[in-house]
Amino acid sequence: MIDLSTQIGPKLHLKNPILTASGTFGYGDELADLIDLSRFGGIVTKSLTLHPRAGNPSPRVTETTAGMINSIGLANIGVDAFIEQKSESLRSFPGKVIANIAGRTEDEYAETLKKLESQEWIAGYEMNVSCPNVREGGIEFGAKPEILDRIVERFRGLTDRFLMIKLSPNVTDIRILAEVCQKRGADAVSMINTVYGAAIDIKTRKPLINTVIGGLSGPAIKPIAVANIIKTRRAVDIPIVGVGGITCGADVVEFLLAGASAVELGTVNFFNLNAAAEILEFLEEYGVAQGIGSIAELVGKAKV
Amino acid sequence: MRNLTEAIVLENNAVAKNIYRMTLKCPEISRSAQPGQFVNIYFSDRIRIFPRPFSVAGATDEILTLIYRVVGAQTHQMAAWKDGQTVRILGPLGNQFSVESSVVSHVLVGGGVGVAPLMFLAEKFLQNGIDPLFFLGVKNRDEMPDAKLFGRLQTFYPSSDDGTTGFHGTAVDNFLSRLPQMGKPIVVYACGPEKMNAALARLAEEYRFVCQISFERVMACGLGLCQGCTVKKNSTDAEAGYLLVCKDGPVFRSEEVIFDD
Repeated sequence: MIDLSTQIGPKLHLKNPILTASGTFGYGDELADLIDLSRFGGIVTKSLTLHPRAGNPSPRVTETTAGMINSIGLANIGVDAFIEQKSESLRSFPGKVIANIAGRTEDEYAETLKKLESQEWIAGYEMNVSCPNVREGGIEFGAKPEILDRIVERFRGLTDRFLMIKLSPNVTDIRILAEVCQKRGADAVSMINTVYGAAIDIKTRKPLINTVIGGLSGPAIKPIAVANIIKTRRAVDIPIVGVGGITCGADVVEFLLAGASAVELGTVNFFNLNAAAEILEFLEEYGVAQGIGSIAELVGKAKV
Repeated sequence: MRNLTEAIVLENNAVAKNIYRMTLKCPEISRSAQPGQFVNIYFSDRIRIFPRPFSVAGATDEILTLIYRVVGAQTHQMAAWKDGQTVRILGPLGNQFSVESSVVSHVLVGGGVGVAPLMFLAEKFLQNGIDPLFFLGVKNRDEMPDAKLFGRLQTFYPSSDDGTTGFHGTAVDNFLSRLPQMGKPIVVYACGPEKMNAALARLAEEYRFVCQISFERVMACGLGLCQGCTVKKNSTDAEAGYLLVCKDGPVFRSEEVIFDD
């Protein structure tokens, strides 16, 4: 039997490499009646902000070829309500819980993180510095190296827990940003957040997303994610958590070979609730067929 | 209790132009489904990835009924399903119409394929010995579902925009023309195009009747995960935000929501 466990830097050990992607799995407890949550190595929560956010007006989602565009606008219940309402169920989750944090200002990120530090069941943080759908506190923190440098240094000073920075593909060179994260002590980077996308209704001539431009996700962006992981793997030594368009076990193996130490399942959660179970089954079979003892043996082993 | 399961198609026939009625053997869902709730149907397709939500149009111990309009590739594919076809399905999802016994006139107002959840609700009323008033509006005669579907209703008021069947006008016009004769209190249960829903919401305020509306939205998940299917919440608080049609709805009282969003 293949060893599915994976180590994401010194601070995060996962029993298997399958995490949920932020914003596609609620706060982690929504599907407890439908699927066995223990199949996941970890859960990454919806982006949490210091104050509750209502999010963007309708329409927020539209289907596109092999994918979807969303512009939710970081709608969430806020960090206080999250701690109050969700800690009981998440505390008993048999994998790792990663809290995803967003904010309008650097201070808001910092305040949110400080509040979460009081919760011992949170294994670490994923900092969302790459949301394409908010006016403030989205991608501007994650697209400029000098700003990213400053805020990662600040986050690092606030926690000894696992700290991962989620990066956007909507930049000139993702490697420069990953290097900044590494320099400032981040334990890992996750990539990719959604890709800028837009769609227009040809009858009404109106955009199909309220903010006109939203974030494209789903199978359509998988090759973009793989390319960014290959590039980044060559530039940094810290681990990469891969995300973008994964739908099946073969996709996961591809991400591992490209250089990801673990992966996040996002849009697939909307259309296949059994994705994690199917992926784990595939990894077992693939391990046997390829004579591999541990999935760690696959990381970065693409012949590129 | 919602279940993800495999259902088997029993019947699948056109009941009007581009409107189909499908029955499925699906006890896991049909046993608990209530009028207003919906199901997700999943397709093994990586080009059009979303599951599709459908209002439940009827449910017995064993059998689930859906009424759907063929609008795109997925429903086009569904129209070709034969008996024996297996279907990946999740439900029942969402909330339901709420019925109070003190009400004198139970009025169903449907537009087009909005007939689906109202058929189920009408059936429940009939089982409980109540005759609801059922107004159904369509564009033209071709789009009016087979009269046999409404055979058990004492008071069925069809209408068409072009006057080719029933009352000449919308379901709302037809309802309004008979409103003065209706015993009070009145509750309207509606499902149809957004314009129809908004018109009924205005009338509900003017004539002071309760109006419960089943909403339709594009949904990526149907489970509250994506937070995509919003309707604006009616509140004095400017930051009040949104309700999710999949999770908080699909049925809302007209005063709970704002239509201009």
